[in-house]
Amino acid sequence: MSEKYFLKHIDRPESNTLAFYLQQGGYRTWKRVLQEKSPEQIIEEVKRSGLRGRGGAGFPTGLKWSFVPRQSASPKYLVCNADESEPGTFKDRYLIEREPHLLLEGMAMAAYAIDSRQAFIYIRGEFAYGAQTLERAIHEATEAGLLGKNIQASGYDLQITVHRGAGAYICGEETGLLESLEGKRGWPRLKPPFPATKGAFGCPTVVNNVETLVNLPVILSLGADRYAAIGSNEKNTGPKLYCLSGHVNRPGLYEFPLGKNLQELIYQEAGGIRKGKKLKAVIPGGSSVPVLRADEIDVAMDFDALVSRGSMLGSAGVIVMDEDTCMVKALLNLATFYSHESCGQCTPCREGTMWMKKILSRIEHGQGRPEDLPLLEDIARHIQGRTICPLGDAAAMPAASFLKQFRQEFIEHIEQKKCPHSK
Amino acid sequence: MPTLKIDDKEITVEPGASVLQAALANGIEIPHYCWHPALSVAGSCRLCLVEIEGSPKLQLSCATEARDGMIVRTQTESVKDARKSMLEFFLINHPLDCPICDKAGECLLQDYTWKYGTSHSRMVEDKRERPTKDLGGNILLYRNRCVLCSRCVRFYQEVVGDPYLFIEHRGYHSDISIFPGKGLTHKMTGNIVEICPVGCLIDKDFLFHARVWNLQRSKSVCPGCSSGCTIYLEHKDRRVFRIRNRENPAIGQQWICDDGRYLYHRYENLNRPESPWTRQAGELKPQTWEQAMIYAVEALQKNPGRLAAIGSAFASCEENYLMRKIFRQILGCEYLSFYAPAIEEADTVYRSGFTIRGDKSPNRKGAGLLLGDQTDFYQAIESGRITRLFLINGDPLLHLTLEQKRILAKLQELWVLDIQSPEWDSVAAHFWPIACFTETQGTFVNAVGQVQRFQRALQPPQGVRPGWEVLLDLLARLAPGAGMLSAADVLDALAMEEPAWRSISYFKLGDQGLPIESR
Ligand SMILES: Cc1cc2nc3c(=O)[nH]c(=O)nc-3n(C[C@H](O)[C@H](O)[C@H](O)COP(=O)(O)O)c2cc1C
Ligand code: SF4
Ligand code: SF4
Ligand code: SF4
Ligand code: FES
Repeated sequence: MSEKYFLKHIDRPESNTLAFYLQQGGYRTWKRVLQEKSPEQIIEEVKRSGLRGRGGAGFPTGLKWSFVPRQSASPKYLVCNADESEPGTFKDRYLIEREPHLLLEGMAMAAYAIDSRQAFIYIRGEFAYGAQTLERAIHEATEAGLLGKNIQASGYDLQITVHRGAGAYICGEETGLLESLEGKRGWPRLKPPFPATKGAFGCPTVVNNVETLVNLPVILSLGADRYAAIGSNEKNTGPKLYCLSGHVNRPGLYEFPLGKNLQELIYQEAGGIRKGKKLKAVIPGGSSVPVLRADEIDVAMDFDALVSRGSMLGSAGVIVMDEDTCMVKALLNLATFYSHESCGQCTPCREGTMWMKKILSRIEHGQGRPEDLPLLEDIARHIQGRTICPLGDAAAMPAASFLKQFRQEFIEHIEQKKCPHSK
Repeated sequence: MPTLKIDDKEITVEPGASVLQAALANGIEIPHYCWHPALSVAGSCRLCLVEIEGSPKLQLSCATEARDGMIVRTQTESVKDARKSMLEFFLINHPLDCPICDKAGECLLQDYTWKYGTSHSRMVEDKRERPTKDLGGNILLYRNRCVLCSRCVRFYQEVVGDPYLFIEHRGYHSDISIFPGKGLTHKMTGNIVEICPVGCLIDKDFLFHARVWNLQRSKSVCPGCSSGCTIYLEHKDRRVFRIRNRENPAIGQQWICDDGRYLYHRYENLNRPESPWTRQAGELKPQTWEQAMIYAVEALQKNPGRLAAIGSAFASCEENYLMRKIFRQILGCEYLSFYAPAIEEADTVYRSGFTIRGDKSPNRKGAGLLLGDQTDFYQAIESGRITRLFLINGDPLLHLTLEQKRILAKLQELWVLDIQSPEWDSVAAHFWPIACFTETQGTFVNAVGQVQRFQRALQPPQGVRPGWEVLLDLLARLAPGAGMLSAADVLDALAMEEPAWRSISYFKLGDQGLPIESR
């Protein structure tokens, strides 16, 4: 059993109170850091820890922070991305509802490192309970002098504000998020400029995922070296949450070092496939990443190993599909999601996602044509890499991979003029 | 200044220019919808993708700054493939109703599809269908044709400064809309029809009236106010069908207002005689121009002491200059002034700086420079200082009050040159019908002192002559040998005499005009 950092208190419903958190030694590291470390030292330490962002792209966190200008006349902002809406992903929600102080402590460290005095938590609108929990935790921590003005007599101020979204997946994309935070439509921005130089309200901004931020107290209490020893290699370090859903016996949230073997995760930890069925496919990193066939899952769940396997770690939302799953229907489901969530700015994403959905719906309902398959591939190819934000890619990649990995199923639908799985 | 290569052509641009701007300025076409020179960069239509050496993905030419040493390619297979697919995306839900679309012939969806797209659609599903919406004023939104470039939205945000238009819904259902209960206001609505790259925004004033390729364009200047926006008069069959913006960076007015855009209607049904008339025994008797001239030459030379001449802020510089020449230099009149309407409203300045002036005349400045201060000639008539008057007008909205008519009736003799006669029927002794601004040429000086040329679009009706030509005729009869034959000659003569016009000639004015010299 590897040590747990995030799910340690999963059996303790009171884990979200300050009293409980303090009792477990919480905020001790924050106080020490505030006294002993300069922002530069924290950034250095985080760089050495090898921490990569848990929001999906795996960008090195310390490096991201170092892009924020040291000297800046305008304020700087830290934004915690708590919009968690990726299908198959439910890790941030747990952290918010059950470990809010761990998140606040991590945010305090990140904010201090980039010299931000105002931080925001952009939380998905549906997380009403989470937002309440965070508000209460912020209140508690501020009352206790751990946040707010002149924290621990250090001269450093930090205010954390919770901002609730209105239920759009695209507001999880960091620049769509910033637009929404500013009160505008959640339309992702053209980059450059990147948020580090021009983010919220035109000021330098760091956007980090919830899970990224909760790693900071771990890094700063263990020290970079001990932290970096966790994980599969020096490029994939630290503890990691995995969300298992679909046709497994024990779906749910799991914590292991980064690089846990996917096959072990499914068969040993999650108890294998339901009802003794055979595995057909796994989407390892949330709905946006390419799908793996059952024979491809002996792979480490880390950023690089999955890329070599043709997929991605993404949000580590592992979606498991058994032999009875209709892959056309599964892809139709994804296409419906992306066409619904496209913000509509970019032509290929706005038009292409809906077109793909319509074609897939036809195929699923027995009206497919042989030429639909190359057409779908063409549409996906014409979306990919040609949009403002990665949602376009996220819609295109699964389509391309489903068609490649499970082409025979699509052909069967077309030849039999019906879904072979439907009764 | 950065030098880059686009399709092997070496190009030097201003620092900060985009790759798209660099290409367009050098005659290299890169198709684009959302980018517009007067608006912010949206980068959303994705049509302007190009290859830039060193970037694995295609890059947006509108949002990429042209940098020194950059190597850009706009004609590679991958660029062509991207354009073709983008146009396919634009077209899958488009109704393809060009035959009944007003924009046909000047539509960028037509043009780009023809040049860069394919001629067949691979979509067999039903198209998105949305009924046409009336946005208020003259503007219709043919929603099925929209390419969602957001130009119109950004126009209202950035130029007008009042975000009336917005994009409603999301993704595939995105739709241009206005806030409930609020029609499009501001006198700027017609501009969005012009900047819409497709036939989505349509002007009712023009709808189904003509096909654009049958129209001829004349370069003109709007007489709607003293901003003097440059315009195109688009016409055929001796009729103006619409007015379009003719951008003139020299005057900083990148748009035209709705007052100006629809003002040609004021000149459509002018009530004017087919020849000069003269009052005889209370009756208005038609005359030939020859008769009118012969009489005037004789009558004007008699007793010029109390003869006065009144120019107009609606007459061209040439006409006002000829008035001065004839009446001050040749006839020696003392009293010279000009007509201009009272200024009854403040200037309207929009967010981008575009200004609609409260001064609703096109040439107050030019008339003032040539004829001196505007004085109250009614008072001078009342006091007996003026007994005979020669007047040119041109304001289609001129309305004489009863008091003014009473005073004018005191004159012994009144000559009027105007574009319509009803206001003068009871007071003038002689009426000479002259061409209105669409039928003549000349120059105006706008509020900031730019001298600008307007061309003739239409032939004046039978019997109606351009004001400058009439005055030149009169001048030639009074003082033969002046040597001027055309409006251009008149301007050049004016420029020789008037210091403010020193650096100006008809030829040098070009399309943008030139500023007068301030002393
Ligand atoms: C369509 C889309 C949705 C996203 N949703 C989320 C999200 O819900 N939460 C999140 O942390 N990151 C999300 N991201 C990634 C963010 O853009 C960003 O990369 C991340 O918040 C950076 O945090 P990190 O560096 O800590 O990983 C999304 C990206 C895309 C393109
Ligand atoms: S890729 Fe899709 S979601 Fe992203 S900005 Fe473009 S249209 Fe919006
Ligand atoms: S109405 Fe015209 S200008 Fe406005 S978004 Fe649509 S295509 Fe663009
Ligand atoms: S601002 Fe004045 S000159 Fe310009 S279009 Fe309007 S009325 Fe004409
Ligand atoms: S013109 Fe560049 S994206 Fe539209």
